[in-house]
Amino acid sequence: MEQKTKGEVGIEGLDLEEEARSLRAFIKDWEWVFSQEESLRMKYPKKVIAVRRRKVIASSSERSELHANLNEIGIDPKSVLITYIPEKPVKYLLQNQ
Amino acid sequence: MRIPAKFGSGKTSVYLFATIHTNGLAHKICFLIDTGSSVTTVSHRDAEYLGVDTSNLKRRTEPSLTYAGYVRPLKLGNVDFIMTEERRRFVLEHLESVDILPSMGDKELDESLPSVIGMDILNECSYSLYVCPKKNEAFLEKC
Repeated sequence: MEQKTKGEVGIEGLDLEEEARSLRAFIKDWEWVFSQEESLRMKYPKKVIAVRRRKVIASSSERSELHANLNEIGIDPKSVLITYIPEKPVKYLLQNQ
Repeated sequence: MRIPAKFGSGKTSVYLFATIHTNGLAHKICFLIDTGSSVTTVSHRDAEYLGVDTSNLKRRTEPSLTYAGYVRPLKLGNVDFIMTEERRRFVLEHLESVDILPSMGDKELDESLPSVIGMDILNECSYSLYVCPKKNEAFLEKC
């Protein structure tokens, strides 16, 4: 396990500065999803949604169909936040040992 | 050095965000922070997005007790974690391996199970976890 800092090392094929910018936008979109959880559940129960810049840009019951819809409008599914909206709130009781 | 975490709805859960990178594949993941978990685990759904060929991965020899019962997770080696930090633009950590949760055979369960940051990252990378819902503050900090 090692920690590497900016300027010390990179990852081949990945622009880390750009990745960090993209990650910050991803975090903002997740914050929006958390803040809108109730209304998203009302509008998109049991659907998979794609979010970009704090807007739902596509939704579908099937992940594969959502990807096809995003590809049709020229958006790479890996470039946006995609998440499933359960019908009811989910509470986690996790354990993994 | 602090890596910000975010509260989920109702402040009943805390999430950390990272791009994971392995063997030329990269994917941004929203990880649930779970100090009850020994191992950082990538969900079946996130593994699909990462694009890992799971048929080439070995299963752990010992079963793991998970939120979905006993399973034998797949072992994904050589994983970089790219995270954002308050002052510097990014922080890079490396884990020798993480687990990948196999499909539970239930679509809704596979969709709902989150990827999880476990104690291995906190321990091996020397992070402490600060969580204060009242102040709306949560972050990882180097010990």
